[in-house]
Amino acid sequence: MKKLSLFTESFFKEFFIRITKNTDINEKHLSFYRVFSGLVFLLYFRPNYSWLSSIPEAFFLPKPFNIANLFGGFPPPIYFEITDYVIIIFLLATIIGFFSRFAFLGLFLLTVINNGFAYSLGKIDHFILGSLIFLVFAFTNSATSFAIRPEKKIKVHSKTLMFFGISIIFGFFTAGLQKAYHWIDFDLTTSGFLRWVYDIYFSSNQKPLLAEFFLNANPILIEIIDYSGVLFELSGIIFLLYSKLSWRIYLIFASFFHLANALILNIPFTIHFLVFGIWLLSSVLFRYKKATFVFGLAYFFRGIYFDVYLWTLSLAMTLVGLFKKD
Amino acid sequence: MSPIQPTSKFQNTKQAIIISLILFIPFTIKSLEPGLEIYPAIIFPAGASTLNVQDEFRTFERYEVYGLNDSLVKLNTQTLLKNIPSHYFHSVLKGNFGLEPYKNTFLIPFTIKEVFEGNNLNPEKVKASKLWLSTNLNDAGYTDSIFVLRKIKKKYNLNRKQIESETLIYEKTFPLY
Repeated sequence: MKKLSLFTESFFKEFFIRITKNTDINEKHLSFYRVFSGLVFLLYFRPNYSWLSSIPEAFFLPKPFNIANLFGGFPPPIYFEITDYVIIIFLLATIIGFFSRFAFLGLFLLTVINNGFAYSLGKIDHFILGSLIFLVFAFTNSATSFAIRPEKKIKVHSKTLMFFGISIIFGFFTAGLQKAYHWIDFDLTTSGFLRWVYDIYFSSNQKPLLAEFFLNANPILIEIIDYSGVLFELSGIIFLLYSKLSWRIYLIFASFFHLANALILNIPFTIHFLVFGIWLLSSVLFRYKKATFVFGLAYFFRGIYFDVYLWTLSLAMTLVGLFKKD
Repeated sequence: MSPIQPTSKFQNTKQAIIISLILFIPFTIKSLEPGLEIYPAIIFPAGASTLNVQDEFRTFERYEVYGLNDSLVKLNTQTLLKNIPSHYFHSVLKGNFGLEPYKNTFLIPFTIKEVFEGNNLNPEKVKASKLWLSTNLNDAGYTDSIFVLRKIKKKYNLNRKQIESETLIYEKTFPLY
């Protein structure tokens, strides 16, 4: 029993050491990325909840284990108006680096709780990484540079990034496991991917940009897409464990996955470009600081073009970072 | 050497167990009973069902809402629900637009404990819902006294990429005063 315990301990020790090494990020790069992502949140993805202030109380229908149940109903309308302003103040604080850790914790709590109220309309969206990223900034040394009031360094910097890496691959795993059961069927007459394509193509008013190309595509190609999707979603742990480079390659696959979903299904999940950017963009943006302004051009794009632009730009910058070494 | 093992000796194993519990418990519960999905939890959407690609036709059932403006006019869901994003339409529909009671019971997996999901209506809440919905209709230029919900079966021809037929399978009128 003792031998088994020691073996288990040494296994997990190596497991965590490897992931910590592969997910670690230079503190200065992350500090610059904090400023960049704060601006992107403020410009494009500002959490906004005042629309909830006018919703009648009878629409409060949370799932039984939604955190909003703790409150028993929607809070007074003024709450959402105030928290929208508080979120702006917190975002500004994180950008300039003034009590950043406190502001990030506030952003995490407010977005988790207020999203809980939004999901009380009866449906849980799955943007949890968009809240978790604030917690990651809070518990890393992301505000030790590029800040008017730099935070003291903390020891859990690398551990926090490790947990975040595990969270990302686990998120994809939860989506892939159920798909694996239904989509890996070695049957060319069924498809999970095409089910998504048809449902969205025929039911939405705005047709996805590339969906039409897949409506009558070759069944073998469709089957390959089904299996590739599942394989990608389930394989994160291998990439995360293998090396720093393989972890970045997985995140590049994930970015392509989201870009493809934006183009074919109108499902962009664009907030994830900031999440993956911790590893894909922080170094390259630190090196080419002026390049951050190119992200500002997204302001001129609307609808799905906005999402496609940001995903494409993120991938382009990532590839520049991978191939252009100092 | 101290005869007492340091408490941190198995810290990696403990850490692995804690992470596994935090991640897998919500996922397991959702897998066994989607209605009991925990929030917050790290879970991504799956959408795992499939379709038969050899079929020439694909049938969908869609809910649509209609407002009265001389005749019934199909509404954009946000005309009726104003600020509520359109992807919440089906969940609001599940709660009968806050106009009629809704209650569902779930059994917590591996236990005999039941939990409930419902809109806990009372006359004041219904009155507030009616007022909100009628104001939204009025603001958009529709009669504010009713709206109509229809469930329509649509049959698409996949080869021709067009609707083959539409069949009304359910209709309900919601009076607002």
